[in-house]
Amino acid sequence: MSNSRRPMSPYMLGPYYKFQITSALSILNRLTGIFMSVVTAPVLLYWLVALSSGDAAFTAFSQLLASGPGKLVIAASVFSFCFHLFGGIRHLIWDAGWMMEMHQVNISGRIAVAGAVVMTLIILVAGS
Amino acid sequence: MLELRLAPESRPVKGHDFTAPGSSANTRIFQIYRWDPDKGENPRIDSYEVDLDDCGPMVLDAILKIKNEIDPSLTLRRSCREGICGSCAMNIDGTNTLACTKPISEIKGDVKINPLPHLEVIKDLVPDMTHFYAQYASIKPWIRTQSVPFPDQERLQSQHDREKLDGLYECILCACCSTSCPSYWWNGDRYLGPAILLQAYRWLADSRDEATGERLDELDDPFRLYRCHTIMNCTSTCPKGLNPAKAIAETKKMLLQRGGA
Repeated sequence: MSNSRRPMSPYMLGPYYKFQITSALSILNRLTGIFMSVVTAPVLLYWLVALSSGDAAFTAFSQLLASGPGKLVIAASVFSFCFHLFGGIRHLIWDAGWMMEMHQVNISGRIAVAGAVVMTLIILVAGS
Repeated sequence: MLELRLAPESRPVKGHDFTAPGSSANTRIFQIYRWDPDKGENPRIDSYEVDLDDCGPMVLDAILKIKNEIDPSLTLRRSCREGICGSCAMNIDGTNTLACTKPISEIKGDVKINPLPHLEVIKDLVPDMTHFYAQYASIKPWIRTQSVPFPDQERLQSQHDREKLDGLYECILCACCSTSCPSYWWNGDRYLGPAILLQAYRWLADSRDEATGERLDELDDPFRLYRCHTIMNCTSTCPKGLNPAKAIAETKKMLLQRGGA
């Protein structure tokens, strides 16, 4: 007779289940979406509020954005937007039932990452 | 529920080390998950050194060598040893696959072997599949018809319609895909998971089945079907090279074309 509780078999991504392009990009798509909702959208909203609050508030907030951490937030926001855009396009294509063979998934995943990095750099360089 | 860590009593601890007898240079360490229901202890990872010069090429060969020669208490499911029964599905080297068709030579370094992920462990590499099979039964995986067939004739199917089942009928229900799916880990109580959804689509795609509408009604649910977020771990891991993610996408398309809610 067993009187012990059955354990749950290990599952965690990383130590027990290998991170692959499938799960890694799925999580990155989620994280970039969360980042835009939690950080980017409020920052943009506050920027508008500062704009409508007059010169002093707008200048102060613009200076905050121009600081080191401010630039980091902008860069992360731009990357999040770019990656989430590519991720969303991938999901649209999959929803049509296309590009779902593993080799196509691997290629579209690499295109999404490379495309997001290039697009981020173009936007950041053009905007600086 | 989203759980990111194992409960303390489920966390594996370091177990025993067994070294291979003799002085072969061609040895490999197999780190195998062990849990004994008769002891109130945590699961442990035992290390077995295996002489590959005296062992078959597949991971299952090594596990059976360990069971035969080192530790007969090592417990696992296996039957056909040729990738058709699905019994020896387990997590090998960080992905789910069949031990009998996974060559040891494909793995670099120590071979880590765990039970299929996020299931209750009965003993060692044997997880409890009760819920998985109950979910399979829930989709009524048999032909459902309304029409009365001619008594002297089978239900015929054109070659073209039969071809629509290719890539579906080959599924052996080993559960590698379902237990590779993070959605299934966290919502497996209500989400059917890739293996069962591929089976559901196998009947949706069958020209002889006459319950397509009912089958779609049963799947049209935020959890049963729509917890699939197209992560694609399922297709990536399927030891039979099938594509559950595509079967799920086709099912979602059928629901869309029907104009459901």
